[in-house]
Amino acid sequence: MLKRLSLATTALVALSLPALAAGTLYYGQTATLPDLNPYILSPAHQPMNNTVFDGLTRYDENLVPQPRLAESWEFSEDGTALTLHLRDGVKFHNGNDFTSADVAATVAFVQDPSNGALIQGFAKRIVSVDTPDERTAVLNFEKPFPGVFDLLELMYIVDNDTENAFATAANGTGPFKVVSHETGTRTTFEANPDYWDGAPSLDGVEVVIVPNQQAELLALRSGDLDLVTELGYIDLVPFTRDDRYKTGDAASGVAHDITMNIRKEPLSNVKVREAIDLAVDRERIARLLFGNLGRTWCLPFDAHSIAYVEEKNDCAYDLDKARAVLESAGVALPLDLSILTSSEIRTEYTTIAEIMQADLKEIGINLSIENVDAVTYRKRYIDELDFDLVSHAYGRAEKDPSSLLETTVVFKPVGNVSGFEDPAYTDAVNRGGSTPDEAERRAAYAEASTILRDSHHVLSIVPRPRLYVTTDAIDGLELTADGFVVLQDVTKSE
Amino acid sequence: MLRYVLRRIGQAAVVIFIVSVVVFMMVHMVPGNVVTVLAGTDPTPEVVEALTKRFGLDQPLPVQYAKWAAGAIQGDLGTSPISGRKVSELIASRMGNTLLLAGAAIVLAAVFGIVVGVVAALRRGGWIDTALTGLNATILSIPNFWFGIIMILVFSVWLRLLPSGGFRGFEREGLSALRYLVMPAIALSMDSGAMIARLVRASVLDELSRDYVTVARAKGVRGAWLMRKHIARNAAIPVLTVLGLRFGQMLGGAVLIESVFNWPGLGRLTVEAIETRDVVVVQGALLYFVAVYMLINLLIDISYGWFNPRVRASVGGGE
Repeated sequence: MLKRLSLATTALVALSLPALAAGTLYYGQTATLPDLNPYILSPAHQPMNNTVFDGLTRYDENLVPQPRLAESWEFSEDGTALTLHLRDGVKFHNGNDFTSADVAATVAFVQDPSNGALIQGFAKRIVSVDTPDERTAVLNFEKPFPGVFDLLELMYIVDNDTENAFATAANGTGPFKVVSHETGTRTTFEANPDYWDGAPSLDGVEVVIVPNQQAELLALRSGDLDLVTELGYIDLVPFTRDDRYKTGDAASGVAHDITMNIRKEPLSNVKVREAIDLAVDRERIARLLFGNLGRTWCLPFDAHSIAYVEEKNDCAYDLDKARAVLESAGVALPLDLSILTSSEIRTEYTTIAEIMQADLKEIGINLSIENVDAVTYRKRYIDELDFDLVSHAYGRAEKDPSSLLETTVVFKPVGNVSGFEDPAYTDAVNRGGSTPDEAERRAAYAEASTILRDSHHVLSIVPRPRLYVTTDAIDGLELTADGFVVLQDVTKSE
Repeated sequence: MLRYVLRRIGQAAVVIFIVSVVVFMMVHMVPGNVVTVLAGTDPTPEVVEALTKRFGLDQPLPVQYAKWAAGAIQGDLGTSPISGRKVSELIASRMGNTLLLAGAAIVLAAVFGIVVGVVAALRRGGWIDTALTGLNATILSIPNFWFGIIMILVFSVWLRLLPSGGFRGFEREGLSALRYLVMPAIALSMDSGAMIARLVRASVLDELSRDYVTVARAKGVRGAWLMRKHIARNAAIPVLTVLGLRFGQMLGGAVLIESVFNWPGLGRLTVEAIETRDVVVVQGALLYFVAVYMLINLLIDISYGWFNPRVRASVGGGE
């Protein structure tokens, strides 16, 4: 009996020998990384983007573009061309040299609609690319394009001579090379010793897919993972009280909103929309979703933005005023409305809907919640426009206003999901996005912000911080303005 | 017997065809398609149109199905628009893992179920029987994935004895990769083990009350010999049926355990494909599940003959 017991113990110990590599960062995420396409820009893809690829520029914490593959640049006098001076000595992972031809090929790739790049609409503002020599690329625009750096940061440069299918391989210039990609399981990267910005300290990175968030957090606690980035506030809190972990929050470029379908009665009535706006308790939502990290927004821009208008950043929760405005709207009460949400995308969408449901009841609006799966949600609010209100979140919230106002489905002047159209808004957005003069841009975006607030068709609620936790062995993690991780300078101590 | 097997294979082909048509129709009845997923949150109409055309979704449904079926007959299950990989490659990359997990779990379930069931039956009415029956009821009333979470907490977080999840494969880690299998296999086997234990207990008790057992005992046959040669073989048939069915369910229905333990199996692949409306992967995976399920049933039917000569005779066209 003793012999059997000792054999079993030996077997268990042998099976449990540690096998994780010391210099490898184990990065956990719940969302499956389906491929290695850097232009999908989903949360699932973000650990890969700045790991394998480089953009031409990248914003610093003050939203000033900094050199990456472009060392310097200048706009033409009329603002319709941007000359990029490209870094010398940069090589792709397959050994090919990085040249201006790769910039031209990348622009062509993202502009091709069949490649499905998220930045395709914005990239269309580039009408042609000149490549006078290997180290110079000139981007030509029809009109001045001051927001171009939003695009350049996300336009990851791919090799002109590689078939960029991205199914199991990707060829970038970034600090790590792809070793293997097992869809839905793990993706392994090794350090690029010839990286132009210095070889990374880590030997490699392994992105591990753990579909269940609780299992993912247990894997972090067991030492099988080093870093988890997509956390809810409630899941973050226990780690803030534990010395063995480091927690952090950063801008994610994402903000929650409530968008209304103004094609439908009674939401076509601006007073009904204003009453709903007044009945949204943003403070409570911010506190419930993000605790002491929560902030409220009335405008879709932070205070540092050139589109921020102080006097329009006023959206106090006032149920009495909401009732009065609703009465003056001349609609029969109670109103029956529905709100579309998807907990599968984010539980916060539904939390916001539930808080609104309780508040709107107070002013005579019965709000029913339609909680559907992610694909049905997108189908209904983007393709079929089948919703009254939708609990939603938009990206690019903390960058240049042009990319937010020109490309997102809730804010773009023409063809937005609300059905909102106003020539003055269209004109203001177009002027703001096509004049290089900052004072003129501020004036144009102030008009756009004012129209947005007064029309109440999209209600900005709270910016979403990107919450992350690492073990105390990890240092040097950076996040971009979009909340994408930069692993280049990450170190892992013993 | 050969005619019987050929007839069953013919039936399987018809079932696979019907299932593929039904699955194809059902996936297309669900709102949204793969373009909704791939076009992202802020699609331009050009992107939506180009992707729709690229994946052939602008063609009528019968044409889409016919194209898929023509490829499938020739062994080409298509390419996933989401991952850009061949469906056969995706299935092959997961199939071994699923078989390993389900195989280990069914062995554990069988060992647990038979031992506990036989002991409980032989100690009928005693405290051991009561304790084991209570244990079975407890296991059956708690979901598998909950056991999984608790095991991770105990063996990975507190004791740090076993990895919390994943599977790095034998090619990377040799036999020590088995440590990834321990917890998911136990978690997946628990309810099956408890169910088999109850069934074994009932079957053995039933056999113990038969006349042939009384006669055997009267002739002096005792203990292990009586159990092995007489009772076990007769009690095995219902147990074998349940084992086969549970194994078939584990091959496709271990999604929660696969998610909790980050096990790269076919169940997870299928669920993810359904969520992203990746029709070709759903079709391919279900085709595989149906084929395996029918194969298992066929093997069980054939194995009945080994256990029970009367079945063998009727299948072979005798009595």
